[in-house]
Amino acid sequence: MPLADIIEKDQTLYTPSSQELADSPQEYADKFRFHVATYVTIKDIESKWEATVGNLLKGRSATGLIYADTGYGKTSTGASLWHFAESKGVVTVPPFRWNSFADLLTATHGWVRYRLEDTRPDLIPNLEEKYRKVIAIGEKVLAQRMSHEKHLSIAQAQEATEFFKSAGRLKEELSPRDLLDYLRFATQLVLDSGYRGILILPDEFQLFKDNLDITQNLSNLKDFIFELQGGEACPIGCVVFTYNETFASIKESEYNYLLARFAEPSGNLINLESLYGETDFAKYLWEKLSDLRHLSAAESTAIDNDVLESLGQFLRHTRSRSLFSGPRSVVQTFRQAARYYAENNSPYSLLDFCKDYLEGTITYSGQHTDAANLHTQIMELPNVDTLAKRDIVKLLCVHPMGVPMEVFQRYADGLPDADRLAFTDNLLPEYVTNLETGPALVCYRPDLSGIDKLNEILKRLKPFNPGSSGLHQGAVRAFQKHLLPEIFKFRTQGTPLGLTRIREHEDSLDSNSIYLLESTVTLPTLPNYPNRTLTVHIGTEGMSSPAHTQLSVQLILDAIGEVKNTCHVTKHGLKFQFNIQRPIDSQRIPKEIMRLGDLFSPKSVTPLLLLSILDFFDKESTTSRVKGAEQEIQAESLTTDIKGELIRYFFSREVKESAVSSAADLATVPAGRGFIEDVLKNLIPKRFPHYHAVATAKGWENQLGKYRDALGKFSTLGIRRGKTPTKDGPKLFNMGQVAFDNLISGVARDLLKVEQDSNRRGEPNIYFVLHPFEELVLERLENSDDTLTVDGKPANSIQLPKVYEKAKQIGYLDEEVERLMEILKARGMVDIKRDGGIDYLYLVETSINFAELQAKLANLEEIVALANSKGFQYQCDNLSTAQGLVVTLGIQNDEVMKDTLRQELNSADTNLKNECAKWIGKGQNDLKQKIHELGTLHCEVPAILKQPTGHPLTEFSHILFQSIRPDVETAYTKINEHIQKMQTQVNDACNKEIRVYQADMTPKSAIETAERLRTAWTQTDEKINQIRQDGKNAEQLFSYFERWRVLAGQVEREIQLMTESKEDAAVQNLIERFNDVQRNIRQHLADNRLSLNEVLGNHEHFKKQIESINAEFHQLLTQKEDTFIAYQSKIEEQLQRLPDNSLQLVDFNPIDADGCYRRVRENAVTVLERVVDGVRKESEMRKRELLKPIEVFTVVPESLKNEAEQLYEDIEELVNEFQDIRHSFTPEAVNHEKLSEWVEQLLSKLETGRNISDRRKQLERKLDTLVPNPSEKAQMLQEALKDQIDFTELIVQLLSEDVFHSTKEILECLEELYQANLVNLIVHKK
Amino acid sequence: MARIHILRGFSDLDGALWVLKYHPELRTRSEIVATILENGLIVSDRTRFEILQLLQEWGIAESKGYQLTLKGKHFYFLWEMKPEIAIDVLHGLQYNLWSKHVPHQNQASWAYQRVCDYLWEYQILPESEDDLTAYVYEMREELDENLGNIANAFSRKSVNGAYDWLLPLKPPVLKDVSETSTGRRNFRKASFTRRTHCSPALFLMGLSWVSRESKIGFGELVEMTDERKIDVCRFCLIEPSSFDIMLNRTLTRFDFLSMQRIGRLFVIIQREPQIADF
Repeated sequence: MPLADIIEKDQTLYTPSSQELADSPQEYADKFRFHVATYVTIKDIESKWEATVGNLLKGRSATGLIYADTGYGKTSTGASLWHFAESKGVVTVPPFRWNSFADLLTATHGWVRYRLEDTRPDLIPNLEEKYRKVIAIGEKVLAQRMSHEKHLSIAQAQEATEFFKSAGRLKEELSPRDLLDYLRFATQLVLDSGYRGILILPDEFQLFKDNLDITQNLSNLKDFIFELQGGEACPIGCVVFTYNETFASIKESEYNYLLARFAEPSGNLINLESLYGETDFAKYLWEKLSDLRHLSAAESTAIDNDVLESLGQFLRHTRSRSLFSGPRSVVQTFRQAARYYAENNSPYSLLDFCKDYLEGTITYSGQHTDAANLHTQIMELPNVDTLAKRDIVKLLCVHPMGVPMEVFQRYADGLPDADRLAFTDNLLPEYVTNLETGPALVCYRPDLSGIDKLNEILKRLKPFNPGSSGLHQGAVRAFQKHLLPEIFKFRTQGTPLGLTRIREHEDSLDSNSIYLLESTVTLPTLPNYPNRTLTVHIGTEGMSSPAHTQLSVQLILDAIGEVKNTCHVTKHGLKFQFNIQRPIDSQRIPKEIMRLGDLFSPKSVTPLLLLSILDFFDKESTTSRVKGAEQEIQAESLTTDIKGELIRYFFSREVKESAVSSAADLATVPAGRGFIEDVLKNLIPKRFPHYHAVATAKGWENQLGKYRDALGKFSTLGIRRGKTPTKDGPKLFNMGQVAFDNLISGVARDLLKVEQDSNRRGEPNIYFVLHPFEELVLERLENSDDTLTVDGKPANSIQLPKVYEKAKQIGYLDEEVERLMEILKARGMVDIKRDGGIDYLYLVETSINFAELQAKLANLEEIVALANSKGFQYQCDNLSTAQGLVVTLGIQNDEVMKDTLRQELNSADTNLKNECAKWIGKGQNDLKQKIHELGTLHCEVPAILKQPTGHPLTEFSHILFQSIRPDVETAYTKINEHIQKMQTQVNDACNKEIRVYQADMTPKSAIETAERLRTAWTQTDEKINQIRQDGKNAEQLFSYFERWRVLAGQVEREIQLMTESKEDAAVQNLIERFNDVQRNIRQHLADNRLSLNEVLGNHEHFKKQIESINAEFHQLLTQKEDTFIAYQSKIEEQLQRLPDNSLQLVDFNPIDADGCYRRVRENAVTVLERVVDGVRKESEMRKRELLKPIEVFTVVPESLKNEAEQLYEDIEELVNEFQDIRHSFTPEAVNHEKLSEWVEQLLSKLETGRNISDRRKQLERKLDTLVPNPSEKAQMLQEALKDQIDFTELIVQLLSEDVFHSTKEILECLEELYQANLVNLIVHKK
Repeated sequence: MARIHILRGFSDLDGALWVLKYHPELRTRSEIVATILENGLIVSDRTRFEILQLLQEWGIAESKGYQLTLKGKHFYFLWEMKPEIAIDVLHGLQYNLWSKHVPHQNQASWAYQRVCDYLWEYQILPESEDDLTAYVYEMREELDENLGNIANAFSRKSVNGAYDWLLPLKPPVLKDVSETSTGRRNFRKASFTRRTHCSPALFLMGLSWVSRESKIGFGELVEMTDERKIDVCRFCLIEPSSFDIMLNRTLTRFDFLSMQRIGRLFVIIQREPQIADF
């Protein structure tokens, strides 16, 4: 009964605790062995076992970490490793729950002892001894820790430890180092007994979850792993089994480097789930079990293949763990299948599986609950009324990724596809959603959001009637609004390229909805085909073909026929035919819009539906329902996804291939969003083969305008018609070289030809060549049968509208034609004339009259002769050339030669006119120069001349400043008035001449005007010289006047000085003489017989008289000053005998001589008083010092006190004597004798003072000998004292330095210093 | 020396991919540029055509010769049929290349990250590109000596290079950018806004990037801490409030992404996302 093995196979393998394992090793050995016998090892894992055991066999350590969630067979995998390693001679501790390090010790000790019993029981006592020692270490550590933490005595802690020991919890304190010590010892024993090493397989590791100190746990784990792998090589292995979360916790911690340590040998960090995640695990396991248990062919079919597929879906589902318990549930299913087969002898089917799943037989932790609830709800629905429908519901329950179509069909029980589809559609969206593989219960959605809020709104789209014309119109609307901007780049503000709407409208005719857009388009990559006219039609089937336009794109949304999606390319555009009723994918909803599976089956997800959703979202009734950020985001992202899906459908590679069938060169055009633009890019150059654009850049009209203006600068037909070259292109176009180069390569590339000399030197030749369109028009004109009468002659012509019409046909824009015709006119080759209400373009004929040219030459020669006769020399090469051409043979009949002659004569005429203008210009400029020169002669009237008052006051001041000064000023103002008048006259004359010339503008008038201007210039120049001389005269007068003014000032000052130095007969005499001279001056200045120049010129004579009197006066002043200086020196000399003798010296002032003498005396008294005050101040200080021995010091003998008192009184007496003398000091009493007396008295008293001072010093010395040297502390205080110190701060400082112990001590030392007269004390009241 | 300067290649991407797809026989840069121009496609960087370097850095073009790799072929499909996702993916590739674990490599990606992070953080476009340049240099100073010795290769040009890659994103992050006929862009009136959503492909790339930077392997639990959620949103240039919506969309879209709530939120990416998955 091999199937019985599977039935009996426990899908879960119990993981014992370490104690259970240690207590019953044989029991667990049997259990694990049995489990392994029915266990199928996952692919690839055996190689990892070999590597692990290989390390141990080589005498090295080995580690590993295997993680997965519950149900993925960690313990089974551990059992398989246990079995493998044991078979290789390694003592392998089977899986046990690892909650603390003690578990490792307990389990290993139990298992090693069990294994030694077979081989070397004699070694067991050694093992036990070691075990006890390790335990004892733990005991000691625990006691110490309890004592410290609980504040217990050691005895109490040991007592508590005993309690823990009896409770079996003692080993919790085992350190990793002690554990390794034990393991190494045990390993040596097993090696001695013939085994190859020890491998431990701790299971269900959760970072020692009992201890909340995660960091400590991780630290211990680190110590364990590092100890295990470090030190002397030893064949100890430890492969840990744990949960995903524990693994993630280690990874997120600072100890994440431990994970790398576990992977030793490499590859031993194993995610078990990823190994089980393979699609066909269930199948693989069943096949392996069938093989392993030798099932018969019939038994091998005990489980239906659909169940295996269904199991695969459960394992693969993104939320597999919340639906299923991994491989454990697979094994459970197999047991159920085997049991079912054994009982019924028929395969276990999907419906059986469903029953077991919904009943929770094969799942744990209630994962089936959601599905079971939904199953119950659906079964209660009224329309679940047949067995087939109930089976459909069951299928939905066991296909978390969706029921595949073929499964439905196998279980259909006669229910047609359409009915089944209708049934499942009815369950949308409350119970069912459509996933990638097919419909599934909503509880199997891969996300956890439940029913999408947006679905509530989208449900309003149902029932969806694809035949509704309203929907078709909506589809057209949605295509226009949402897809058109995707496939065409519309020109907006800020983007110069793209589609520009000219006209658009929407029609609804005969149930066909048509949207028409007429526009112009400039494709970014086709700047040479600007503004192509493009018509876009979007409509439903049966839409009429568009009227003929330059280019068209027709998009037919066929909602009826069984048409294919196609694209037909013609010369004029593209015609798309789209089937909007065909499901995008009848088997599954495209991934990008998978969310629609909540509401629609794959078959109903058609382009029509998608367009309808877009249209639905645009409706105001919908937008008002889409409320809240979440819904808005969902609606927005769904819109984006739908647009993407539609673009992929409409412009797929299939559609592109159909386009390639009609235009093979589209093979390299990518499909997708840019398809239409790329096809147009390919099509447009073919559509307009004869088009040469000029509107290729912004501002092209302006550039062509410059071209036309440049043409206008030439009258030579040869240049204007592009036959003859010209030079200096940039200048002609009034632009820089770079701009000109751009013009040549851009807008004017068909209008300008540049020809560089072969040696590339010099300016290149520029040809104004005809544009291809100009040539086309000329050719048509020349061949035209139509004529028009112009100036009485017939001229070939074409109706202008026909020119535009033809141009449009070959691709030209109306604006381009307009500009090119202007250029053709500027070349002098065509013109436009209106006739009978129609504009005609006609060819211009040219014919030149030779006689007129001859007359023009004669006229020029006459004028040149006139100019020469007036002294204006003129020569012109063009004139000489023209003179030569006139006599050339046959010129009368040669149009080009006559044109050349005309050009030469025109040039000569222009040249002569220019020359005349230059002559006039020169005459005018020269005259203007003279006007300007006149301006420079303007005399600035000296400010002093304009000043009627404020001059020095003398006897002659009135006549000098009131009569003579205005006359001198007038000399200046007359000149300035003259200059102004002259400027006006000359300017008027010049302007008059120019006006005369401008009224005529003939060369003859020009020559005569120039001559008159030249005469005016000469006359003006003569007058300028005269004015310059007048100016010099005025300046001379002013310089004389200035001398007189200075003299007046001198007289005023001296008279004042003399008057103030009164009471002196000598001075009085001088004043009288001074007044005589003044009177003489007044008479001289008033003498009418003399000219102003003579009056002012005679100044030196009077000046000398004044200076003579002055000299005498200053000699008198010098004598007075000498007397004063002698007086002051004598006083100073007396005072210098005193100790403080600095007399402040006084300067002599002749007009305040008495004051000067008084200030000297006052200063002398100040010096005397300062001496007395100094003595008094010094005495006060000394008296204070003397009070110390008299009143303060405690150790002073009476004799010394008496001596001090005597000194005190002597000082007081001396001070009083000084004060008496001081009272006699007054400035009035100062004279040389009195001063000498005072000085003598002071010197005498000062001597007395010095005697007293000597006595005081002797007393001090005596006092010093009385006082012992200050104590050491007092000396320290003395050192710490500084000038003006705050004593509180000092106390704090000294106390903080531990020099003194109290304030009192410091104060005592201070007193000691004071008594020793080593300090002075000044105390302030607070 | 690694490159910190962000290459300005977006406008040349279309032409580059097209030529690699349809003309794999071309061997030189100049031949490639000439062929693209002959076929009427745009080339803005004719001399260096830096986009080829980028395509090689991303593994889209072979490092020797100029042919699409397998990844490149998948990307071409994406570019052709799902351009809006492809543009998101390009942003992800630019952002994702630099890793703090190998800081001396792919430094242009580091600079791009800084530009994106600045914009996402401050939610404004700096008044001048110089402000962003200064910010990037400041960040570089803070990083470590591995980047500190790079010459002044990051400039206003690099900022504009970064804008090139950000500009085509849909929904957009840069708005009101005007463009002249010569392709010159004006950001004077432009603004930066975080998006409400992005493609699930980019969101998955963001999750994958966060796992990688946290040294968490595929198939392992990645705890979605608040900090990591912000990192993902910054990567995707989306509002933090959109995280849950985007996670749900992404879970629906990719069957190798799953989530678990074990008290806290975890996601598991079973395997490395490939362009072909998008």
